[in-house]
Amino acid sequence: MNVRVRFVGFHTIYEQFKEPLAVSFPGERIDELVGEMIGRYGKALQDALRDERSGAFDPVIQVRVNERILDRSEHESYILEEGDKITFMKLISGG
Amino acid sequence: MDREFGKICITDLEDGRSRDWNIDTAACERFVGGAGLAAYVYDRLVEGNPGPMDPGNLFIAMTGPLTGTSATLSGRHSFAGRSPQTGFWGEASVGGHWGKELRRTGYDGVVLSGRAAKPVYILLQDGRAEVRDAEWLWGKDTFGTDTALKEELGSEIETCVIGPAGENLVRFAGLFTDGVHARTAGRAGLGALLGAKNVKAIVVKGSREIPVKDPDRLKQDVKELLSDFTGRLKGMTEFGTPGLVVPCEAVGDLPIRNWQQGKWTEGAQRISAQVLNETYLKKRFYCAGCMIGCGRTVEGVLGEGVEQTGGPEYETLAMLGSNCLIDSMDSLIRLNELCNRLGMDTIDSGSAVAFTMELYEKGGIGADELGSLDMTWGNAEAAERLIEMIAMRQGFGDMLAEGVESAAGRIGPLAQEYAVQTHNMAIPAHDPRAYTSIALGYSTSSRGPCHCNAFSHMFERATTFPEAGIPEVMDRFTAEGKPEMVIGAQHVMHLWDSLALCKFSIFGGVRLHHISRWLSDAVGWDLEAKDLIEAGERIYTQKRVLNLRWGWTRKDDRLPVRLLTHRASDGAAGDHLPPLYPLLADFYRLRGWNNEGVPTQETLERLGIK
Repeated sequence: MNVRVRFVGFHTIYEQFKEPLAVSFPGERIDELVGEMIGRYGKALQDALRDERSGAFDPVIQVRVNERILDRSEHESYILEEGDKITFMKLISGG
Repeated sequence: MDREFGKICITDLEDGRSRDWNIDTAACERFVGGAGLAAYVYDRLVEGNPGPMDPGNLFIAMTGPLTGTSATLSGRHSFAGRSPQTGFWGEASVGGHWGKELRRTGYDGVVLSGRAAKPVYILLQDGRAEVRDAEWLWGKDTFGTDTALKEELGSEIETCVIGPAGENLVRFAGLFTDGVHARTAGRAGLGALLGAKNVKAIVVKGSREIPVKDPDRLKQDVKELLSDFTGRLKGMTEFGTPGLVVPCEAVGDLPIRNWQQGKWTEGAQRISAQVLNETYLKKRFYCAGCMIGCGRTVEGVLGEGVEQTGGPEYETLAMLGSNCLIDSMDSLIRLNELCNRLGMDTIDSGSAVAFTMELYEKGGIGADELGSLDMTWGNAEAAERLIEMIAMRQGFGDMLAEGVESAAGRIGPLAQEYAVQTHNMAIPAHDPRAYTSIALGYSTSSRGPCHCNAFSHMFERATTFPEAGIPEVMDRFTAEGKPEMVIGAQHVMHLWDSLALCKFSIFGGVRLHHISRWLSDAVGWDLEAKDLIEAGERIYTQKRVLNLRWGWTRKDDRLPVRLLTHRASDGAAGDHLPPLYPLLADFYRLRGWNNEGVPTQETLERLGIK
């Protein structure tokens, strides 16, 4: 599967991921994509994407596929298609 | 030409006379500007020990040395004084265009002392101040006051006004700038302080250029950062602070049902930024010098005669929404507009509504005592009426207008548990059970419980600040290292409030080495990163010294019982409770304070505080 991935609002990994990435990975689900990327880019990306305690996908991250915002329940299991554009947006700030 | 920064106008409301004071550069470098310089000015100018509503209490408005310059996100300013809400140090920082316009008058700050014999407004215009009659404005809401002043003086003015709540001395009345866009200095009841002085508005109208030592170099230094800035803050542009509602619920950080519940997933979705964007968002609001535009301008469902207004922020959606189980965005936009019009802080207003709903549910108060209001959870119409009753001091609203903790003290012990406050001020909408550092940040905040005073939870999830000793994102539930981290965060945030810079600039990548260069360019100060951190420490400590003078003791470094003992187990924070008191002991030691929370003589001397 070939997709394009963009990270928005990830302050700790901004420099490394400020440009969109083309990613090829074996599988079709978002959790498989995330697993592949963590394997490729290491702990900094893991810390940014996973909850520190549970190891699950961090719920403060909004996931979009081709600009459609996914429900949180779909985050790990959503089935991607060839050429999809995936955006991970970390929503944490002040307020 | 005047110096670049430090000229303030001092107006005595008793006789209407004004004088200028050029604060010496050394003091400006030590206390920077904004809320920090306000604390220095207060300490220097106040006579005796006046109570918050006494004429001798000072009202201070202060910009920062970068306000209105080309420095990124520099369109902020602070208001300060002894708080009518807490009785301790009060400050409120706000963005918009008022601060920049004040600097264009030739002043960097304003001090009001005394009390006017009748309602007045202050007009600051190109190096002079005038005290003018405001009886014709008294009774108008904030939007109406801004409109009337613009009709009188021209549309190019900027206004800082109070509403009926400020006139009626509601302890959590705020100050409002930018007209219907309602940029709000909401916290600490400084609207009541202005109301106690019989001042309806401070109007600024300038035509002067804001002095900058080396404008070309400042532009160049700012430009270096800008290429990444908007990319880093894209989420804020798209969703503003309402973007936090859903993620905060997801991690157990959202106050729900007066802080009793940890989960409200479907409700959070209904009051989310996506809903706001899809149905109500008209355009974004930009403060002076901002390219992010986190402010929301909304339309539809508004009161008569208002087509567009400032939309609700995260804090409003949380405190009036989830905390009261109100899940209608229509209702929350109207409640936000109502609080803004009447001139009250939405955080404390939400706390007052949630408190009353819990009191009603548990039989502590009946509909008869509430003027037949049905204060069932989620009843937005009842919330709307209660807010009006508070602002106009009618019925039970009169008791709430004195502050929720104060009202609870009069009602009885059970009610005190429902008042999720300290120092008569509402806990804002981030939960210390979800982020350990927040417990320490709230309890040792210099203005009562405040999420911006340390802003430490951002270092437990999202970002780092190595120059302040925070090299990595920390585990949010552990206690280890938190006192050190909160101290570093407090120094940074007190510095930022004194620079009068937007704290979202930190997410944009602004760090101390940038500030150091910008200050050199703008005002010629030679301050390295370590000097800036020490300034943050000095400012925080100066406010602590003022609070100690007003009777603060270590018992005041506290949290509401509910947040220390009641688990919100159904949510993502699970059974976690913050271990506040062991953290405090380390906090005092690391700060160079004694066991009573008092800075030692050695600490004061090191910081040059008397």
